[in-house]
Amino acid sequence: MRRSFVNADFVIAVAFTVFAVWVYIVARGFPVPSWATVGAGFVPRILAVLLIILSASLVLQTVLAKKAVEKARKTDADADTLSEKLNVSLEEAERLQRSEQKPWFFTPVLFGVFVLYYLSLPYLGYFLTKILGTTVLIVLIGTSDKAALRGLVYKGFAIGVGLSVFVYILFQRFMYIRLPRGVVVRWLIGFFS
Amino acid sequence: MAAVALTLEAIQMVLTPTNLLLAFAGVAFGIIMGAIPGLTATMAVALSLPLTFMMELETAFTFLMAVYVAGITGGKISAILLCIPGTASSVATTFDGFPMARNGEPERALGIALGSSAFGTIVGIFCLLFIAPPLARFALAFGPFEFTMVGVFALTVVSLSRREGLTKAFIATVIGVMAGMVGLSQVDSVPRFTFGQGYLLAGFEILPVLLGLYAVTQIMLDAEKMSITVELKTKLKGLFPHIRELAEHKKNVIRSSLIGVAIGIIPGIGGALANIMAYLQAKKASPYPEKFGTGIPDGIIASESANNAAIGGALVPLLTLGIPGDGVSAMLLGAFMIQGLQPGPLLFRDNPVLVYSMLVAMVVAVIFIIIQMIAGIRFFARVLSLPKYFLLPVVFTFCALGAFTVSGRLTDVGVMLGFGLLGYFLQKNNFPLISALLGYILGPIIEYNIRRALMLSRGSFMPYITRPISATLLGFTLLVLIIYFVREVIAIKQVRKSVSE
Repeated sequence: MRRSFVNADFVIAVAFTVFAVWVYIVARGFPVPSWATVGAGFVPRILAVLLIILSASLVLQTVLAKKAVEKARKTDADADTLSEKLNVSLEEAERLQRSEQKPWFFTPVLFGVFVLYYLSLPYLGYFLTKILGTTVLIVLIGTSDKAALRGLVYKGFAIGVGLSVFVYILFQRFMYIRLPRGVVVRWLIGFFS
Repeated sequence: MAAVALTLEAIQMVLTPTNLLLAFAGVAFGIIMGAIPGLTATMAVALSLPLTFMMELETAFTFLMAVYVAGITGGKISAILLCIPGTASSVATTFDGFPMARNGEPERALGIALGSSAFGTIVGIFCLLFIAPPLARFALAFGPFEFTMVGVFALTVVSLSRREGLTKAFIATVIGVMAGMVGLSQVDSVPRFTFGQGYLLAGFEILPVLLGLYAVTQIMLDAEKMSITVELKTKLKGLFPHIRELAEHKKNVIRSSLIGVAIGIIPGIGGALANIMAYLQAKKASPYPEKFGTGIPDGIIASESANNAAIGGALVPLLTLGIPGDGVSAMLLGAFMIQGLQPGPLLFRDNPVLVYSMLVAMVVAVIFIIIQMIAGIRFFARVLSLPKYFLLPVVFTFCALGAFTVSGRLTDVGVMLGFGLLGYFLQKNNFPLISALLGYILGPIIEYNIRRALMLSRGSFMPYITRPISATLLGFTLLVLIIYFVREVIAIKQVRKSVSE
């Protein structure tokens, strides 16, 4: 069966090539001062060309690697059985590796929580975000350990509060760094005062 | 004589109650971070950087050096007790350290490792003391041509040393350099790739980039693995550095320390390779190589003296040329920048006391490490059992805090997340992070010097070949590339030959 050359490296190389072309076009527009021999676009253009060459090399390596596998399959009579055996062991290895990994959607969800943490900072302020963020992250990362799941919310909350107090004392009291208070918190303080 | 006077002045600067207290705290933090697998010395230094904003110069570097040395030293605890190296610098420690601990002698293994680390650090400091000042004086003669070539040489060596392959390493380097191009250009202040956003005019702040690439990436990679709570069954009694045993292996200690320093100087390699190289050399030179891997002191001594000696080596290019050789020295470069300083040959001329203070701080760190390890080894061993789901969120929230405090802008937290995502993507697809990081740091230095060089030579590239130092560096760069390709061709031929047979 003919196998496709398209894999992750191939896609990445194409994406980098498109990116490099964009960099090259943008860098061409940078002015060259009259007193200088090269302008601000000189090095970015060299880098863009370099990235295109390197991406092409990556594509070539992907294609050659696949071709070598195909050739070995066709020429060596034992190759198929060998590769079958190899495939089985590879699959087994992959399966074992997968069992140690959390489901595929875990990392996007985790990064989503990171982004939410960042977006809520101006509204909820540093301390409230830290308490909530720490709790959510501890529960999210700890969910794989079923034995520890009980009480994880309370523990996460306690750690968040403890850290907030620690950061408040260290940064605001000793280092005089003002941490964001947050629109909501400021409004609440204004409402109750 | 000048060196003695500088050392005395540095001792006076470092040995203040505040500095000693911070060094003590830094050592405890560093050991804990180094001991926990996944949390490295690099991350420890990165998380410590925000705390140094408000500190005096010498205080900041005393604290950071304590964290750095302790972070590397802490890696041995999990390597010996769990057979999981806390940092890449302690991989070879597992080969004999863990079997010795399993044979019922964990205290002896830890003690030998502690003594070796202390000795290795001191050797590293002495080598730094002898190599760095003359190298810095020599580097004072460097112009833009030479600095361009130093940067190119460093990036090439870093890329060649990656196991991910040359193409991917070079791509990661180019991506890193491109990230450093964002903002106003250095020579003529042209806004580049800013999309009209005012906050991008100054480019990306170094700390959010470092935290993103190293810490956030690592948090994501660690968090997606199933949590394994480690149960430590070993019961530890007393611990002391086995000086007498080290004296019996003095040849091994000295050889391994010197290997550590030599490898530490080479950009991008550092302690991660030094411990393995020293271990292999010790095995080669040993009259009983077959015993290596069974739990003999020789292997532990080789690995631990080399990885700590590599610290002194890694500081040589950073302090003399302003070129960081690995992740931790890149963090230290960030610390210099935060303090408004640029490491390089001028640092030795204008601020020599700071350099000597860093060395004195390393000696102080060694003393505190020995004290804390003897007194608190049971506590440090218990830290290994802390579940990841408690540690990682705490580390993340401190990263966000660090990114914010650098300039008081929330946007920097977003920059950190962006670089975290980039780092995760690069790491997942086998593009070496260190190449991207050093590309980001060295790229602007190289570009600035290329443009200055071309202005001096009126657009001619010839001085790169005609100036002796620049030509030598260019020759070295080409030589390492040729050696790499020849070795690759030989390796491919050998594989083909073995397949055809």
